[in-house]
Amino acid sequence: MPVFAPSTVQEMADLIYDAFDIADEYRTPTMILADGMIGQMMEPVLLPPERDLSSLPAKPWATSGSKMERKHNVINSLYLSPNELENTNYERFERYKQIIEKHQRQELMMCDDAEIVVVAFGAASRIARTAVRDARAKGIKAGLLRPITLWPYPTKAIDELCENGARAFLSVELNMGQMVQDVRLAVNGRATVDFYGRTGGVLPTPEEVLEAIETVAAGDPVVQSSEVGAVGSILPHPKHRKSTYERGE
Amino acid sequence: MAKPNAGTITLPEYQQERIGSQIAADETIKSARPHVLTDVVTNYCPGCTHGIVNRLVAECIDELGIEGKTVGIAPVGCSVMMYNFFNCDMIEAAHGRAPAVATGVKRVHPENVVFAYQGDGDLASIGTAETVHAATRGEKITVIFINNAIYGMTGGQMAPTSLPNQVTQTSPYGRDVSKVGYPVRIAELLSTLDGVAYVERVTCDSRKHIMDAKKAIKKAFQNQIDGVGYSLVEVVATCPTNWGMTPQDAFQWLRENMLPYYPLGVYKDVVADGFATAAEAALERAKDCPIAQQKKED
Repeated sequence: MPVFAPSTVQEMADLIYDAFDIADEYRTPTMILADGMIGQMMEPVLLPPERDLSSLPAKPWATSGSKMERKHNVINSLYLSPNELENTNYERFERYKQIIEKHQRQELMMCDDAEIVVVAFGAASRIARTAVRDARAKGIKAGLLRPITLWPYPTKAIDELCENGARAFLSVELNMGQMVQDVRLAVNGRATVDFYGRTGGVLPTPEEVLEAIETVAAGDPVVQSSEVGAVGSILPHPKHRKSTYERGE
Repeated sequence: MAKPNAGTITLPEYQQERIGSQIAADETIKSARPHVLTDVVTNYCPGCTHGIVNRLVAECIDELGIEGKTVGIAPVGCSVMMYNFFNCDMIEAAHGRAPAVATGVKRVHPENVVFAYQGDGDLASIGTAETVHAATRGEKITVIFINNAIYGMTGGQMAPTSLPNQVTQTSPYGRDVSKVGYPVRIAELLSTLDGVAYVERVTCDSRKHIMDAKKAIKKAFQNQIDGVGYSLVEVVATCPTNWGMTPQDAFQWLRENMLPYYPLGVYKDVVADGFATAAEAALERAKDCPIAQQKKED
């Protein structure tokens, strides 16, 4: 299912329109994955102008009455014959393939010569953006990859980054590392993949993300184990794990 | 649908194609399959009341001439394959969600006639929320509710509608109301809601009751065509297979036990009460409530 991860309220509004179009074209559910920060944030929004919908794909499958002019349409998900269900599954995956080909979406910042790529979506990407700029100011060749679609995952962009000399990826998330495996699959061994995440509503400061970038730049692991993405191994190293109380918040 | 008379066979073309070659010109055809039913063998067990009610719904659709604009919503349960039995457009909904799907279709295409056909495991258990809220929202849909006091498709487990002390697969010592509570009387429950235009409970254990059931189903469709409001017909039904009875014994058990618990009758009918729509009846019922009487400016 196509999943869109907005990082601003404006983008959240804009993506609704795109999500509807993709749902309509491919007959698939789509999801807007707004995190707690984006969901509760107040920002100005400009809604797009109304547009002509006559160019939307035709819907000969729709159950809106046969008008006695065609065979009846049936919308169902029950296929008792294994052959029928297998063919349905093949047809579905053909559609998924088209979506993967055509609809990967991401934003790249300072990635042209990036050696260390921070991957972050949603609210985490806004913190990461500041941290990457700060890292550049300190002379670290950092860049930001912000996936806008979490599925299809922007693997083509990661391919290009790997080809252009990225040697380390740092997934920065507001959870326990849900995206780490996506990054690892896309990187496929061409670079190291590390993770820095806070959870439960704790927001890392840009300085803390910068510290994690510096750790990666120095060739050290941010997580306690080098097996990033394995269960139980994604706790940040204690030096990256200050509580909000320690920060004096 | 025009009924062909003896000697003068004036079957519609589609029926001539189907049976025309098998009948002699002087034969009498008392009853042909309704056009909206497809020519397939159903999956219903021998003696199952689904067959009767499917047929009644089909006859009503034919007689009202609405096949071309009817959209049916099949439930999960024994009648899940109903989308293969009907010639009108059909959707198979997720378990219990037929009223929600019907709501969507009806709101997008108000010119369509949309009906949901659901069993008690679907409508009165997993779909209770959808059922109650579609009813109280006054969705202009028609719901046919088959209540056989059991989960039929999955093998006869206890349903919310199973009678006290009724033995089922999952209540081998009888339904213990001190532990699992009491049956839900859907017709009575929904009749209290302002969005509801018409609720009647019928059965199909005899010719008379079958004809009564057909009248009720037709009214439930007519209400939708006339924009009166949400209509539901509860059909007290049998499940000979899972009750472990012959069809005749099952009807006897239905008469002795089901009907006293689920009395037949009209539980709400705003048209009979003199209102044009459920909304009008709701306004009258709330006549002493000033805020409810405020006119909405369009």
